[in-house]
Amino acid sequence: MSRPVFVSVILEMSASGARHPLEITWEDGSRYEITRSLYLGRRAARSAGSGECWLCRICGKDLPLYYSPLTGRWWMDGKGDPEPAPAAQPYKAVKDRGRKPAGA
Amino acid sequence: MKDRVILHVDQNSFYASVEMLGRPSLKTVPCAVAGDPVNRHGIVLAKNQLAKKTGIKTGETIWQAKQKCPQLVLVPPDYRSYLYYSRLAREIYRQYTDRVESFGIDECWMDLSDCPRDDGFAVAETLRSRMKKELGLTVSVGVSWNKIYAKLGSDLKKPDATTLISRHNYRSIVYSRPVEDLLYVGRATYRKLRRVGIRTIGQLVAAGPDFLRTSFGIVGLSLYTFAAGLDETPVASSGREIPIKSVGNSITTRHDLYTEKDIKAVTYMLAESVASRLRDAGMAARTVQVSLRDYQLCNFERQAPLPLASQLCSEIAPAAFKLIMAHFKPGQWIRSLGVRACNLIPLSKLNQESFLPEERRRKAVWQLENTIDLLRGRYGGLAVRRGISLADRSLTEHDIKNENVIHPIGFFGP
Amino acid sequence: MERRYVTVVAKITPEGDLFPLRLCFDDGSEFTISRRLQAPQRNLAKDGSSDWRFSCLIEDRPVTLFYDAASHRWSIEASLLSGGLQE
Repeated sequence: MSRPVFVSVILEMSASGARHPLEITWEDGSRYEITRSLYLGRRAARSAGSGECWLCRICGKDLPLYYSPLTGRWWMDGKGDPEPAPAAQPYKAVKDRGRKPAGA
Repeated sequence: MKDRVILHVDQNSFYASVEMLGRPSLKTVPCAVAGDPVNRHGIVLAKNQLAKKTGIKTGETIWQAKQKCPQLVLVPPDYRSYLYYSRLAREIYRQYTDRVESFGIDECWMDLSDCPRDDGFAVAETLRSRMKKELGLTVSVGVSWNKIYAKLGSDLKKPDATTLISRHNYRSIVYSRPVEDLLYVGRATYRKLRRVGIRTIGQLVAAGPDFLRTSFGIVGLSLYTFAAGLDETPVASSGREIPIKSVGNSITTRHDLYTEKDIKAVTYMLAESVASRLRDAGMAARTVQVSLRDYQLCNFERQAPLPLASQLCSEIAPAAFKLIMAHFKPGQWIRSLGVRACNLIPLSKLNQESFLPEERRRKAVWQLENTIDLLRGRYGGLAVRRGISLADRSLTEHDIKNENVIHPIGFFGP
Repeated sequence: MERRYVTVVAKITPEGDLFPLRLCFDDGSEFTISRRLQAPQRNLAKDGSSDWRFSCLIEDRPVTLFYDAASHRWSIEASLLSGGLQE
């Protein structure tokens, strides 16, 4: 099971439009240098969502880093379970469509 | 003449799939995307497999859905995401041909006839795989020589499948299908056909064009053409996007509107969405139109020109409000309200800005409204609200822009 | 007002907020962006397209950086390059 972990990214954005992630900061505050990266294009993430994907070498391992142009956020596939499904909401019937507000 | 190669690509349970993509835990519970579950009568816009199993149908009210499945989890629609994924899907389709015609937000026809690869089935399989790998979404694809059969094909196997309807198998696959599976056979047509004993597509074909034309007029001839695989309607090129003619939003509020204050709050809420959508589209409006349904359930529309072409809420809203109040008398109430921006002009065609104090003030307002767009884009439509809307939250707690629905243009033209 | 594209090293927060940190030129010179002065502002061009304007402080001088979200490219006014920043 994997959950999405939103990260902070230091990104080099070159004049030509190429982007290279240089460093990420994990949710616990630790910073990790990206020694090299490879742009893979769009990918569905293992955890959740889909976006533009870079394969990043961090501490000797190649890990996917995702970016969603829709939200502007960067994330990675973290260990552990995703947050559980929300509970069903109690249904509230709509009453009094013709109710006049006080003072009307 | 060689047969065309037409694909119909249909996103499976599109809204629900996008929601489950962002929150995979939703796959483990019956869930439906429905408009405003807490405050208003909403309807089911999409459902996942678990919800489908309990018999829930798209278009039902939430009340009906909850009867079938009390533990149904409801998710409000996020149209911005759906439009985004819809566009990404089309970008993938366009890598194969420029003849990509949208049919609503989650369906497209593709014409591969002019492409070097003429194996439609292989392309369909590649598309299915790419949609899963790159976007995390599944599609059903129909492959045939005409649009009608291609659409029939994509409806046959769901989710995540390709169906080929060829000259060899079409009689066995298509003719046994019920007549209501055919595109544009709705309830009324279905009943008419039943009355003359036509229940399957095969029976429709067997009835013949003359009989159908006599019984149903020109529509009967279309039905025959569709049923027999004779439709020759081309798949439109996607070279030109359909120009936007007007931008509007309307709402039937939680309770009827009695006071000037309530009407103003709702008008501003609608105008904000309209203005934001105009900015997104790079267009300015020269006319404001309001539509309302009054206490006698009479619908009417009024419009007025704007002094300056505008994409600003601060200009559109007061104009709309003035139009509404011209028709509102104390003691009456309004049941539903709409604001529409018409007579649109692209921003690039407007005269260059001058340096008059008036223009500078307008520019400042434009900056402000754009900053609000940015914040809303990031944190949701309710992140920033006008003071006036906080007066009665039940009226204005709507993220109007993100609840905006787009309906497909009909098969026979707009 | 002519613009030139530049390389920018930026920090993006987990919420998606964009803070330019450094401006880099072809000759290898770099300028630290000490801070972003306000939230990014949408900037309307004459042809109807728009991009985002970032007002920043570069070594105590206010400089405006333009960011095109579609192409992910940053630019600054050309006049700043010749004699402006590089003094």
